[in-house]
Amino acid sequence: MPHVTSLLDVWRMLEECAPGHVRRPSKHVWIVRYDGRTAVVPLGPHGRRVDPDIETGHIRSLVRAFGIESCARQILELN
Amino acid sequence: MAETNAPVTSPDVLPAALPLMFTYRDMVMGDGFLAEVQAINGRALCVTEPNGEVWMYGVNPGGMAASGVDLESAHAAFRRAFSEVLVDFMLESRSFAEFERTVSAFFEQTNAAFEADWLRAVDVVRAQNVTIGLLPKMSAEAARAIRVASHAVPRAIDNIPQAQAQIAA
Repeated sequence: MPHVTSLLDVWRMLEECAPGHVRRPSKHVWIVRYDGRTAVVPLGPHGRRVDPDIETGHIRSLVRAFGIESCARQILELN
Repeated sequence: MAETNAPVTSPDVLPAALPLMFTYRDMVMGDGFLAEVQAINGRALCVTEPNGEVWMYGVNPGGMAASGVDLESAHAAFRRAFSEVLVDFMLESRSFAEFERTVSAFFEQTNAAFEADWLRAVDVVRAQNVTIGLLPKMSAEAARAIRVASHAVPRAIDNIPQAQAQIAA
């Protein structure tokens, strides 16, 4: 059973750990930009639903890409 | 006496972390042009998580990941995701130059945390002579490059995608 994270929880985490980040949905992924860096997160099953579950591995990649892992782990379960 | 440095061949069981390098070629259609993207010696770390999921975490590019039930499916998912990200970058680009800048920056962006894990995994590959089936090896120090070229007209060879992966050693 894959570990998943609510996308809304991811956004709440980014509001705290990556203030000023910019995110926009595209055809296949959310494109998230912060501090001159870019990371992508899947839209989730069935496309652009409001609060899909995202496999947590994508979030691990994102928080490490942005250098915000320690902050993120205080808010989300990333294991 | 056991042979020293005998290869650890694991066709079915992956090491906990396997350092990979990949070379991909994609053709992406823009408004009035074709863009050829060659990602040469990109880096990714293939991790078998405690729950059995196999994840490919991008090191270069450092901002993406994909998963599967095994190495082959995880790499296929990563390859597909990379192509999709290129399309999404093209959709937001207003010119070839902008697309080139976006793609180049994305590929060159190193995920430092996973890079540290990748380098440690390279040390393990070298120390234990890790092999995975027929997956070839590549020097971990091989030069990395991203080439984005604009083409005015399509070519027959553009029909042939490219995807190569090697163990970084």
